[in-house]
Amino acid sequence: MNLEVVSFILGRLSLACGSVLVLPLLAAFFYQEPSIRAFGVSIFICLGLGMFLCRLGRLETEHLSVREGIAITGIGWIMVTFLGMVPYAAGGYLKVLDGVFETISGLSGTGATVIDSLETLPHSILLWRSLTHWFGGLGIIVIFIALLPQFGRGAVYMFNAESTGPTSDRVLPRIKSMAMALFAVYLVFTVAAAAVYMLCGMNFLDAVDHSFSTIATGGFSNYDASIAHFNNPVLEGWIIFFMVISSANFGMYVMAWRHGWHIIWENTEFKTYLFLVLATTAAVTIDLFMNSNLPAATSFRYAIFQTASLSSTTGFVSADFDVWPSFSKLCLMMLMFVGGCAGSTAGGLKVSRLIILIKAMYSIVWQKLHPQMVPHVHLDGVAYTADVLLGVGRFFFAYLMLDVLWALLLIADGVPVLDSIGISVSTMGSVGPAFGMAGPTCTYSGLPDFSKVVVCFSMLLGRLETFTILVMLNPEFWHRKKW
Amino acid sequence: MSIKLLMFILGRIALLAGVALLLPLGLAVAEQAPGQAAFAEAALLMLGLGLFLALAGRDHQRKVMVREGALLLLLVWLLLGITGMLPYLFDGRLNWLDAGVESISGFTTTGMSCLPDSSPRPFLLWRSLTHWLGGLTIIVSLVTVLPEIGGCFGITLSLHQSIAFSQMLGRMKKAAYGVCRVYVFFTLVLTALYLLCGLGPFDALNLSLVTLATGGRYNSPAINGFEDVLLATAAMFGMFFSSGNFLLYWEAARRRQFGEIFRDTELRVFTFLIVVFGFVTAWHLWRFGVYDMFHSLRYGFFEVLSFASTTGFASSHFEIWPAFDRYILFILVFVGGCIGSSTGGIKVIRFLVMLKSAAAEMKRMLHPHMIVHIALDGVSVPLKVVGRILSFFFLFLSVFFIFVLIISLSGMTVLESMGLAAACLSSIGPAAMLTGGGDSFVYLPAWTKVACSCLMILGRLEIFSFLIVLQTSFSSLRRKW
Repeated sequence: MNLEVVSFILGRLSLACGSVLVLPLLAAFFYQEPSIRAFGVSIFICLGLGMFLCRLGRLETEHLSVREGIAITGIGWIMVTFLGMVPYAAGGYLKVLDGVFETISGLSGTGATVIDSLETLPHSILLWRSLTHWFGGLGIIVIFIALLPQFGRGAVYMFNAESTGPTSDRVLPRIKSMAMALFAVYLVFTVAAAAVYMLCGMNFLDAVDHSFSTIATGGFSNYDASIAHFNNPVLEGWIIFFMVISSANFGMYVMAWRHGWHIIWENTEFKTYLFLVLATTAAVTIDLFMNSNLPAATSFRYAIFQTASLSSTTGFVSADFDVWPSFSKLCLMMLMFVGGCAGSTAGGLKVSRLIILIKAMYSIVWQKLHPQMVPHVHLDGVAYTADVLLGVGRFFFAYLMLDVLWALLLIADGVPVLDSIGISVSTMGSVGPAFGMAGPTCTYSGLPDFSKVVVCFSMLLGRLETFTILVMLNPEFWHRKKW
Repeated sequence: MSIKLLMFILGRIALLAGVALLLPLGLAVAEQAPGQAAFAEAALLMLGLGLFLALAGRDHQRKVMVREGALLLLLVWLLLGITGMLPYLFDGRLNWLDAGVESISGFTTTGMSCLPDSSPRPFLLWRSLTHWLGGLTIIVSLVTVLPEIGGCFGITLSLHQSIAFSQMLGRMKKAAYGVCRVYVFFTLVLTALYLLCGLGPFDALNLSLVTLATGGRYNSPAINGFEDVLLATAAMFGMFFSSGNFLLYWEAARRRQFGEIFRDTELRVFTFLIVVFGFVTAWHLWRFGVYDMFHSLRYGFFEVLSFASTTGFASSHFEIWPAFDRYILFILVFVGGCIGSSTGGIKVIRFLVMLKSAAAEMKRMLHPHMIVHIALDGVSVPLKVVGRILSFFFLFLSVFFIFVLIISLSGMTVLESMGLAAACLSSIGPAAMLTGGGDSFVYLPAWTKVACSCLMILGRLEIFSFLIVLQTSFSSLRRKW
């Protein structure tokens, strides 16, 4: 472990965080809000810490190894979480723990909030909430690599530690150009979403904030009632569209830009994802229509919005799905667990992993029937090695065990059983709303403190795909090289 | 596909079931109890069917292929299910659907029942016998057909891989007789123990039948919810040993090395799990003032063992325990006992392999080119087996979730559906009570009962065998077209 490099890059990250905080500061100036002081203090702290860490460390990017990559990504996320909490705490809007919760929920794209009355908050704070979504959505590290110069070969390990999905493959050979391309797609989507939202009647700030949280598949809204506040079917339609496109692999869009749009229709993962969303929409619509006394059109409107929202792990709410029949609730819970596509801003297990797990299962059946056969598992022409298959199986196991563990801790803290299971699945998949106490019309503010800490871990481990953080708990990880 | 082999084995099983039916018949005749005609008819029918099938399949081949093996497993459960329902049906105690579910729940050692505990004694004996025979079938198929066919992934990991499974019938016979002897021996020991605890012969026999099969559905005034500490201890002893690996017992007995049993990693981990969860539950019960310290320990350990072994004896009102304790019991339902026993669930050894494999993944993250291998009992676990166990885990949970979805359509709450699905899949009826359901299926809609029975059988086939049957039938259909 080369702590000097780690410290230097973390220092840079802190400086970058400070410069991002200028945006809400400007907004605070513009709207003449008292939150100016809070943002000023935060920027000061970020710059101070950044300077200190840079001074402590030394840059030798060529010597970055796997360990340093993981350490930078893991600690970087935790550090930015604490830095991002400062504006909430300094301005007196939230307690420290709640601030950490809100920031990590923003960065991980979860969208679980502890704020009970959003309408009373200043605009600049709301902007900062959505900005944490936006920077965490694509990944702090990816944006960092894309925007800042001087990262050599070592950056690939940082990139891999943050990327989601069974394999961290890139469609462009150079890490820097890949990060830039992803960022470009991300930016285009965000601008498009903001423009469309304004056309649908949102004001400028709402449109920007909501576009940030849609494209990052986060779920923070500026209103307590979330999207139900607008009660606008056209707007809901567009939000569905943007949620669905941001849960596809962003690398796919880069490819499509270079090689033609047919790439999108040939992508099995995205097609499977769409199929899942549509099939669940149909099932939930029928269930709502039959069992919950809603007219057919309303059933469909609610069903498709919630299905898209929860399967893309955004967590926008247009109807209180906590009162829906249990079949619908279970369908939604399944979608939360599966999540979006690999390499997207969505969380969850990822559709490609699900496909691989199912195919691996069938290859075993085939092998039992034809013992001499050498089965291959492949997706879109790419054959997966046994290593990847094992990795996916292990990930599924670890993911589920953590879900069970979080639920156990929450129940021990006095949260009801179904609520705990819902919260653990929802936050591990970075969705946001769950059932009961943390249901679509409630917030997480009612949770006891210990549970909030548990949920923070759940969100962090869910976003960084578990092993990145778990590996850092191993003392061996921190040993300096002996020779 | 060789039909004759299927007929031969099914014939044997039908004969066995017919002989088993003679026991309650004898009891009914001796006590002049109702049901004499029903048992006589059922026994005659099964014996006739058994003789016919055995004769028809006389000159069968000596080797079980994958396809017929998988089909065999499915047919065995169907045949057993039909056998079990006959007495209830002929006597008019239950309608055909309830009788069918009752019988499948019995043979899969689930222990959900809609037969009142006040029924005539021959019927109670028959219910316990279905548990016992079901447990025996499970264990015998585990050491014979399943490893080669469905892939009982992980069974070769125990016993230092000293057991070679074979497709040849002759070799299967040996292993089957071995575990049968152990099973019968344990039943006799347990009956004697219960007798010593002061139960009457009928109660002792029934209770030991259901304990050993990890079925758990037997109650009588003399047992009185295991209020007697001595009886509870005997039952715990029984549950513990019946969730161990029977193949291991047999090996140990054959080699006269009984220490081997306690040196087995899986059994040690199982014991460790019981102790840890037992203490956690007992502490929580005591801390929240449900019981005093002694009763917390007693009820805590009893229920933990009862759920981990998927037996489901109730010595206390666990359905009104705090949510935390019920959740722990619910997790244990998924873990189950050791491989090679009649417990349900995923099994301890598979969890062990998966945990070690997850730890290996972390090593591989730091050293991407390292070849990490996992060892159990000092023997390296092949990567292929690890992959299959992980696949099995995925399959198990997918099936669980799909059935939760199906069951929830009957209008139950989310938690009740989860409880019922877990109860059927892991073959432990009272698990449904953990989440607010009942342990009887009388009130369910008819199609839910059918779904539950399917789930019980799926859990017993270790699911993969079912997939193989599906795949075979699909490909043969395609060939016909």
